[in-house]
Amino acid sequence: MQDDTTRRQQKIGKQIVLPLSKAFEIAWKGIKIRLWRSVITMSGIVLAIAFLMSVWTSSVFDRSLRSVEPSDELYGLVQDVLEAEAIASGRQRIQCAIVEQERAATSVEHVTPGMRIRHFLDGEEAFRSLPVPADADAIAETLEGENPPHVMLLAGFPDVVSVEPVPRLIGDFVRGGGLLVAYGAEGLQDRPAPEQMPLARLLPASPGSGSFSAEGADIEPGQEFAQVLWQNHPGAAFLETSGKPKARALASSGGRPLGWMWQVGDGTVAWYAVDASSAQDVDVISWLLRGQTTQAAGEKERETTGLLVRLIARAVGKKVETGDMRGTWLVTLSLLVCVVGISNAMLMSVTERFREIGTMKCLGALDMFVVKLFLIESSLQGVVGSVAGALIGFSLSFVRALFTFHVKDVQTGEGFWLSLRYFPAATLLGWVGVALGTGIVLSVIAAIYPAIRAARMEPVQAMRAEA
Amino acid sequence: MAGTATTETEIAQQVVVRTKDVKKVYKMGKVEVHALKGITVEIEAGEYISIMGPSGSGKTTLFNMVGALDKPTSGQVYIDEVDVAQLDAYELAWLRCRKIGYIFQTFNLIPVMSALENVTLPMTFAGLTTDEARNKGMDLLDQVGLADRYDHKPFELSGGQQQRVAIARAMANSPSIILADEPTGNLDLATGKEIIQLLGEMNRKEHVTIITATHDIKMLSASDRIVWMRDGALAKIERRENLDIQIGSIEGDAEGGVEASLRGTGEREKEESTDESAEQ
Ligand SMILES: Nc1ncnc2c1ncn2[C@@H]1O[C@H](COP(=O)(O)OP(=O)(O)OP(=O)(O)O)[C@@H](O)[C@H]1O
Ligand SMILES: [Mg+2]
Repeated sequence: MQDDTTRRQQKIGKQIVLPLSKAFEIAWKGIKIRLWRSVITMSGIVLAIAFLMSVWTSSVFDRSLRSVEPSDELYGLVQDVLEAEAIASGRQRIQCAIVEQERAATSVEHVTPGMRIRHFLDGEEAFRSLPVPADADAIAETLEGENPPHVMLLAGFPDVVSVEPVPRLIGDFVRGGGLLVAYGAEGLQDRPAPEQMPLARLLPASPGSGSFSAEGADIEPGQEFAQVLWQNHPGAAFLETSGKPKARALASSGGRPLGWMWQVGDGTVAWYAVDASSAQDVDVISWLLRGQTTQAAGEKERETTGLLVRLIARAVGKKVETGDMRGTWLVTLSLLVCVVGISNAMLMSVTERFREIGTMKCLGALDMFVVKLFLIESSLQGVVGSVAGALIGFSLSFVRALFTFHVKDVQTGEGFWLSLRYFPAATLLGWVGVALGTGIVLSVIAAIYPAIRAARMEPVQAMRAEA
Repeated sequence: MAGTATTETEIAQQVVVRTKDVKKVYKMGKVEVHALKGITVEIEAGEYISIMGPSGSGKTTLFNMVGALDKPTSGQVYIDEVDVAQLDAYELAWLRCRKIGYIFQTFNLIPVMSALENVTLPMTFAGLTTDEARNKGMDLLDQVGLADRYDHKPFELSGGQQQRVAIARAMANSPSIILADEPTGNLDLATGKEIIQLLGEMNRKEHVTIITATHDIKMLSASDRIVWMRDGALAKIERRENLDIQIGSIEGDAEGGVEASLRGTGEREKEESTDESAEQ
């Protein structure tokens, strides 16, 4: 009684700031009691993050399983070509001969593009890589052997390609329906002058060197590849390429695409489209390989070379248009859904407690304490919801990837679960982190904003603002 | 602090709440509602004051100003001679925590907390340890007759019981003022009477100043003074002694009819409460 009397006489003091542990205690109690409401709020977060996560990780699986090292654009390009080849030829397994120059055995660190492509092909069970040393006998043996490859990959431009009988054999291989992919200009700088290296002339050693012009048309300097096009298609026009990523030259003749060049890492990939209707183009292949123009071959070439046109068209369409747009759109959409979903869930869970906030203020709660309470609560909900959402989303996309990338070896009948063998752990972990961060940050912001507003209000206002 | 202790008579004469020409205007678009049109009133420590008046006369609004729950448009509110408008956020929270206990028509218990937790929450804010708060909280629940329901959630309690918990909560930090806005508004006659009794008891035993806003005629008999409001202004202030003569003439028809029975219950209430205090 005496105590009470003295207290009533007390001058007005300052409210003490409660330790965070007290806020935690109260928040935790609240979550436990409001368990169902918390679960409903969290399910909003879970759904949003699961959606985000499945969209993101799906694209991670897609990209990483289609190319072992997604950073290297070369893989994507080769992948596209090989896929198209597989579709066009109806084969489930494609044998790829990679001609690569032997490096000095001592320097292991020296990784040639050929080695990296081989590594990539080994990852893709649908493609079998067959390394071929860059010597004339080995190439001849490979091309003339019992089981000739479907695709020949030229890594860089080994000298031996211009040593007979290799050019002839490669020419036959292409005419016989084989697909020749030449990539990488590595080592071209050390080569003899282009005059002695007819094949090398087709791949620009460095952009901007040399110049070429023909009547009625200006051609970008340094485009030796363009020269070949020009030679065979005097009516070809070189199109605006600024919108095409890394494409350096795009030529077309009468609306028909003819050739592209891509910058890939430090190297360049050149494509020359062969049209079955143009006998000259078939000659170009021979010209490419032998360094000279040959006479047009017969009907056979007309049939087989059609494939090459399709390959190129496919690769371009995928690279430039649909692929990127759809992915970006999906990711943007999923992010939007996530933002709206989480904000809505958290906003609801706070606004329905405005009255509670007002009451607490009447009982002597500091604004900061109220905010702390909601900060703790929303971050707990955010963490649990995001983790659950990330797990669910990941599982969904993993199962999808598992079945999408199931490859059967035609020769052995063995099945491969690519997603298990080449699990892109590091990239996925990164995305898990991003998804968790997104979920937690969003739920905290979405809850804290109304909580701060309510805490700042006069208690009466907060109590009246009934949700 | 012990040195500042004063005798009860001194407290009784001390003014705890003073309002000076308090006005409140609500702006709703182009319409201005003058909810309070300049209220000047003094309330002494230990008093039991009822603010009466028809619906919309500004009782709740005044109550919120006096309780430092809202800011007047103009005029001052002094609590213990301190201008509330001059207080910073920490001092305001301190004031709401220890100086004033609030009781609402809708009880406003925190729905997820048990009766005991509701009562101890203001003590937690005041910095009491969990054990101290628990002991004191059980004491208070015992005083309002709900010690055995300490672990029940508000939705497990009846309206009257919830209001008792709210009273215990209002008393948590031994405030000098209890503000009760229509504490019996949502309760039936008998339960309302109990609540009024309980408030009267707190007033007598703990010397808490009680300010209630009400339409409830039952409140009158417990009050020392009645502040009549009409249209945002003070109509008149009366002491209870003068009430019996006045009540008929002011309320006129309907409420005058229940006058007799009210006076009857008022007397009985007095007897009951003296009985109770004798028991303790
Ligand atoms: N937040 C507000 N916004 C606008 N007008 C308000 C607000 N609160 C109260 N009013 C108005 O102020 C006036 C007084 O309201 P108040 O709630 O104080 O009346 P009351 O005497 O408590 O009535 P009741 O007995 O019905 O509770 C009313 O005209 C009301 O419409
Ligand atoms: Mg009211």
